[in-house]
Amino acid sequence: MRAASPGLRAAVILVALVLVAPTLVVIPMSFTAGTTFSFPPDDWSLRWYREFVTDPAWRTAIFNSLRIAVAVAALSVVLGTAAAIGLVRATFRGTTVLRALLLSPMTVPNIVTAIAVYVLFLRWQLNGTYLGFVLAHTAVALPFVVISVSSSLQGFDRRLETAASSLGASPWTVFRRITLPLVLPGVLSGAVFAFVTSFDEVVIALFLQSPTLTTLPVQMYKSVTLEIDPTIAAASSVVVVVVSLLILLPQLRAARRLVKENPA
Amino acid sequence: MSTTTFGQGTRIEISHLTKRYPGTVVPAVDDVSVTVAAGEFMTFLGPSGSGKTTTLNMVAGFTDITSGRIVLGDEDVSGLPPHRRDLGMVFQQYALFPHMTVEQNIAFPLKQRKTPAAEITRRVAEALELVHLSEYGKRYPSALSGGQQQRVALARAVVFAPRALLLDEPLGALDRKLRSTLQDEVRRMHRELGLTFVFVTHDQEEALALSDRIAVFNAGGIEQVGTPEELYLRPATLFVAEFLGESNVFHGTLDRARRAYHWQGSTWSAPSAASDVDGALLVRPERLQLNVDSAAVPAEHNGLSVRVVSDIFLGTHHKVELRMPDGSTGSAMVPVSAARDFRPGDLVHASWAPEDQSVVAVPAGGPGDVPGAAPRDGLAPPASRSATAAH
Amino acid sequence: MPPRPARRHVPRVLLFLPALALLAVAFGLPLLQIVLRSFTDPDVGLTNYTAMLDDGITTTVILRTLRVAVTVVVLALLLAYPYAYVMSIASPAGRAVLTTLVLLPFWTSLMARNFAWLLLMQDGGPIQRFFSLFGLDVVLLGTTVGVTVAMTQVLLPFMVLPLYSSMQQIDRRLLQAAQSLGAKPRTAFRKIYLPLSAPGVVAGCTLVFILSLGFYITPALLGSSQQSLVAQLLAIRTTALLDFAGAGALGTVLLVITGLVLAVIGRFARPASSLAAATGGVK
Repeated sequence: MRAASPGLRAAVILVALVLVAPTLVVIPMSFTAGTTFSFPPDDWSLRWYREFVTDPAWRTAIFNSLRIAVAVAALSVVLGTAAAIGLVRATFRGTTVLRALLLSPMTVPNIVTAIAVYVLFLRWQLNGTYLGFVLAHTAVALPFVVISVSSSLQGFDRRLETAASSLGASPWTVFRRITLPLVLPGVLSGAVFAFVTSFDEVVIALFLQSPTLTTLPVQMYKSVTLEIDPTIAAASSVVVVVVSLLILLPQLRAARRLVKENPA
Repeated sequence: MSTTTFGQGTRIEISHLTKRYPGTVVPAVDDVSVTVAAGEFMTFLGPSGSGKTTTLNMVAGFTDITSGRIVLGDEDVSGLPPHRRDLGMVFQQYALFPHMTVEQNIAFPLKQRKTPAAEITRRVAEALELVHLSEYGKRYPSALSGGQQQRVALARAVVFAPRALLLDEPLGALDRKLRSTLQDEVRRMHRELGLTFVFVTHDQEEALALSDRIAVFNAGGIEQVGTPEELYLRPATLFVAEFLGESNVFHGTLDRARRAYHWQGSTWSAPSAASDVDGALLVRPERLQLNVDSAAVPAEHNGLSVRVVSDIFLGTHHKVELRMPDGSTGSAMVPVSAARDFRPGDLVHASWAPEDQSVVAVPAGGPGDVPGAAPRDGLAPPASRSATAAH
Repeated sequence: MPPRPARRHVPRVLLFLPALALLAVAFGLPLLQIVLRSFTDPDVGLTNYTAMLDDGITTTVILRTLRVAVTVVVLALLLAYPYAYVMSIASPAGRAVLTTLVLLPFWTSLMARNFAWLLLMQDGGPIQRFFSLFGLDVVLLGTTVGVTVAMTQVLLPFMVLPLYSSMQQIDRRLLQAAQSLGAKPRTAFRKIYLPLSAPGVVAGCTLVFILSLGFYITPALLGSSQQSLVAQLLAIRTTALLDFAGAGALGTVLLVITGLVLAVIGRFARPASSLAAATGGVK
């Protein structure tokens, strides 16, 4: 393959900068000693990191976000995997409609979902509750699980199950020992998607939140609009660094493997 | 179909062509020279990694040349980009444009050449007729079978009257039966069009069936160029002999002065030998005669005693597997008419006429390393690198 | 999870029920309720819709939102296409780097990224100071231009990933074939590569367009109430004015626009699936 031309290279470097660079501004900001967003900071300190980990409002928000995201990941993996198996294996008509229904939360603008859920949950008194958050976030996360599991099921040789049955395995054993291990990568990536979707979700959360139940993104939003306090810079930096490490580590390992295989 | 519509043969002269990829020591193609005559059907035959496809890609212009020259007719095209070489090319996986109909695919090269619309229509129709697909012009490639797709690819590659047609394993993706039908088609097109064809394949039967001449590639170089008969009957190297058909191989020493070949205590007459050096003596299985009675062996024959391992009936022939005195194996093809029952364990006389044997060079890597293996980063090159055999 | 070897129909249907039940409670019913409400509250009829047309604001906001969404789509496509193209032809190592650079913002907190733009665009911030070097006074915070710039950057991964996923499937030999048939490299790109990458273009544009239509956080943080987008208007109607029926009407309009876009596009591509395939594939 011929290499990209110089013009194309320059364009790619530019776009790469556009993708990554703006976000990095939060890192120097987080080390400010001042109490405003004045950038670049005049003096440096770690005070906003201390604030981030000691302030009860922030601590509770992190804890709530984790608690909700774990529940959402678990719930949407169970429901989504079952539905994906049903979709791929269905013999009756109408699976296209079912599939469209299952994926529909992806195609409805977030803000519309948010106000709709807010209005109905207000009547059901689910606003500001753990259950309300988990239900609403699971609805948004479910499509990701359905897609990743059904795509891993599509490449799955059903004769393996027939073979297992013929060797005396009960249907439950076939599922546990054959089907599940083979679609596990799809299930896991669906779980990760669901977790992140919930952990990062801010629009629906802004509507469902209450003074007693706030998630991390909501706390960040409030801190920008109401408190105007650099703690959010520390919070953002932590989130950015943690996510970057989570993504970079497997990539680095893959890169090292690549280098090992082609030493030249 | 007139030969002028779809172009005519142009001579292709490849001289001292070398391709060295950055960061590698051994060149992928090493000093290859061969000339394809105008209108000739030339096949590049060799195992994968032997450099045949790289050579073709350099001719087509897809791969940059490290050194050497490619001349089409009188024009040196070595530095020319692919779209200005005027060479038709047929790819292994068809490479039909999926978003265009059959007609649009075939019209594509004509449009690139700003051919008037009326002429495009006429020539597309002619090209479709040439490959017997006139009914299929409005279809999309995905609605055609593999064989039909390959015929569209052929029509597309010749419709603009290219200087020559390059075919890169064009039949590799097809099943056996379809492949033989399309071989007939390719041969017919070559005959009707009079175009120069350069055909790349790793399938020796296909090469023998189609070609005027074959260039056998191995480890980045050409081992031998010749007609199918020459290559089969007078292989220049052990590699050529073993790549094209089966052989019984005897690794011994040649005594040129006495025109004799010594092997395991036997001395055979060797009236002519292709190689100057110690090498291997080869006999094709169908040239081997088996006799139980030593008196039946013709006097002028070379021969030895061998043990029968098995006897397999193949319809027209018996294939008799043999064990030589040194423990190596060999085989003989015995016509059914001449056959008698050989039982495993029988001791028989195997013999052949001296003119049916070939004595060839063995590469420095020694015997046993040669057949098929020839990795790209492999052995020292065999004896003759740039073969320009008689036509 | 119930096991399913093919005996009867019933257990298979049961596999869908839990997921559908949850979607009904936390997605379907809420939407249905709010749409119904827009036609029935306070009276049965189109009151809420006629009010929306007459208030002099809503139509302006909808048109502004559509304009912003189209601009974001065009800008994102211009930036993403060459990037995705190079991703698809790069060496494995180069591709890994480029993929990581798209996934970083894709996974990074939306709030953090919007906050970063706030820092960059604020009064006396880095962007203003950079342009003042050339004697320009650039105000982005609180303007539609600022919102458009930030939205383009935030949504860029959603354009790159579907593009890359469709470009990856293009057989590169088709370009060689085109060149062997006499097409210049540029012509080969225009006539072969561009049309074959169209499904990815359609998928990416649809995805980014729909996300832009309902984008809330960026305009809420970086825009202004004088130049608000539909999402801001919806939020205000709902939480500040408690005009659920009016919000429902506006939400319904947004749903209808989205539905129309998807219905037209649905013939060519499946944006949601292609994004999921892309992100799932590079994870």
